[in-house]
Amino acid sequence: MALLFLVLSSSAWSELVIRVTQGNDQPTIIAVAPIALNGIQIKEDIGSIVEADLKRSGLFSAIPRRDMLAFPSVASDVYYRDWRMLGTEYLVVGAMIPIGEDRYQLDFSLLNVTAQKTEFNHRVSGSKTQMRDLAHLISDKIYQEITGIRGAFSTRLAYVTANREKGKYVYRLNVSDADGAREKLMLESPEPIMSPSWAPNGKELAYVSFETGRPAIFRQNLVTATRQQLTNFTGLNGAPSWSPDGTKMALVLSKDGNPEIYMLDLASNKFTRLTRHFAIDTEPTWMPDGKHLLFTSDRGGTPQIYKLNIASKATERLTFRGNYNARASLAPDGRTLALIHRSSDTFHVASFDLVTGRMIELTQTRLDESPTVAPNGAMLMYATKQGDRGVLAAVSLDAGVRYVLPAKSGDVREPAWSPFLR
Amino acid sequence: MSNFLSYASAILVSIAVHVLVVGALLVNWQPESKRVMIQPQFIEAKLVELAPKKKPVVKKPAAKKPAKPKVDQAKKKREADRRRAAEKKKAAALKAKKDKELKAKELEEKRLAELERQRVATEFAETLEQEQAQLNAQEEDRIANSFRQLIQQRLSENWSRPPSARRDMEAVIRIRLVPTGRVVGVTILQSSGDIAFDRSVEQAAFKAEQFVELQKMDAGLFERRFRQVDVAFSPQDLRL
Repeated sequence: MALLFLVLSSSAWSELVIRVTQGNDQPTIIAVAPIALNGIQIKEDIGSIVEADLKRSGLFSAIPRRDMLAFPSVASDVYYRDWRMLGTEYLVVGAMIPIGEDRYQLDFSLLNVTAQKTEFNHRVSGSKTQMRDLAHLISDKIYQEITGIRGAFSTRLAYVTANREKGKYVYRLNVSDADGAREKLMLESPEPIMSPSWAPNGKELAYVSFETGRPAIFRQNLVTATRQQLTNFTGLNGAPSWSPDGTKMALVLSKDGNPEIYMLDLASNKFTRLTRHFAIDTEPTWMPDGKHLLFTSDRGGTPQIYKLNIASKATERLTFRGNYNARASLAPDGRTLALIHRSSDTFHVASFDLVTGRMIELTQTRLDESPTVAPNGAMLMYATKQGDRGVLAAVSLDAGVRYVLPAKSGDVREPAWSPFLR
Repeated sequence: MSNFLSYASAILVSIAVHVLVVGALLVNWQPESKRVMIQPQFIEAKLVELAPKKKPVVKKPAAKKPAKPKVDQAKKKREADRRRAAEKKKAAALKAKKDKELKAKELEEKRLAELERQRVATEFAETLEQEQAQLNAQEEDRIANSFRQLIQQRLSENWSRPPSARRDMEAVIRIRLVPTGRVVGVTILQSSGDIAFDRSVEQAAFKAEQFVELQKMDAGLFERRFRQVDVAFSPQDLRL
């Protein structure tokens, strides 16, 4: 009955209404007024962090502070007309007050200047060391409200840097905020470190370290720094990938001759061989269902992406366009694949739609590698060269936005975007 | 602008037609116009009844006379003279009556013709009026459509879709306007199911802010069709 009404009402509308079928997509113009601190001394400028987060997504452009006619901190102090004159669509205002020993509360509001109404009032709280966290939480909340996509500003990145110090290379495994700030050292080694992979709970990393003289897979807790070596086989031990439920790890071992995909049960420490082919099988990554893996194999003559059913061991080739498709990283929708694709002798980061088979080249530079998709599927990060240095860059999955993370010393490689942490 | 010119010409044409019709009525059929409307059928029936009633009255004496001639000659002669005179008189009377009847008949016919003419004229005027009303409605549709197109275009320009927007989404809103063309309210009649999409649609209406062109619109048309405008948004130009 309700369905019938729906059909009737929508067909009735179809005659009377004006139909708008095209749009003019522009970045949303947002103004983030400075947060009123009420005398609290902090080094971070929370408003600026929020503004930078939103701008970096490519979906927002910001009204610069110097253009603002006033710095309101509560909705009741806002003269909508002034903001409207600046072209503002949304305005963020907020104020912070102390609520205890090193404990601060930040009340903020998202105001819709166009419609002259308050979209929401929200409250976050934390200590002085958590001011960046508060800022990213504010960004997440605003981003989700306006774009309909969960914000990933509170997520983190893991990556490897290689620095030449006193004539010797020093390798470091680091974790930072998604915007590159608050870098934290996890491991330092004179031997290479490779392939960081996040546990689905965001509390552990798996990676390959050559510190024992040959490649071995380790897992490490980010808070306690406790480490555990998981493999010590002859030959290749590489490309760990945590299963969605966190109980297993897919990895590559060459102990039986050539690289094959194995699965390690983390509770029992038992290995199961999943592929059996004379060609190279590598770079496993889990499908969200936990029942399939994607991997790279050159069994067809050139490296291509294959899908493996873990239970039946059946494989299926997924990519056919181009003579090189590798390093698959799956977006959370389970359908969009970020990969390295070669066309006319140049390697690109490309997105590949598993349903439509459509390949879109996202980057143009020569030496792009290691794509990793943000947990909200809006952006992906990859390693590239800027001059002669390796840097991290990001591009939106529709190729509309790209940015390079603030430069760090030395070469930056192998980024891995964390899952949502809350 | 051209819309208004063509609108004006249509008004001129309709005024001209009205003047012609009214003029024709004044010149030809003005005296009867009121009477005719009230009592056409009634008079006709009365006259038809009158005519046969008179005839038996005239014939009755003629039928009685054959009984009298048997009395005597002189009387007969006198009678004959009298009869002749009477007959003459009667004939004259008859003639007068006939003339009168004829005249009445003529008058009646003339009146009927007049009635018929009047009926045709009224019918014609009514048809004309209907046609004019239809024409006016069509013209109003045309004008309304041009404004609807303008609103559609303006909303399209101001519609910035969120990344969560998909081709199969649709939201319907009702925009409330005032005669200055200003948007004074937006309500969602049918949600797309995606909050960000719904908001983008609302924003498009608020960002359009004012359709100043509506100020030139006929006040009646505005009240009938543009005080509230329903708009469906479905992004058919998206990739996904």
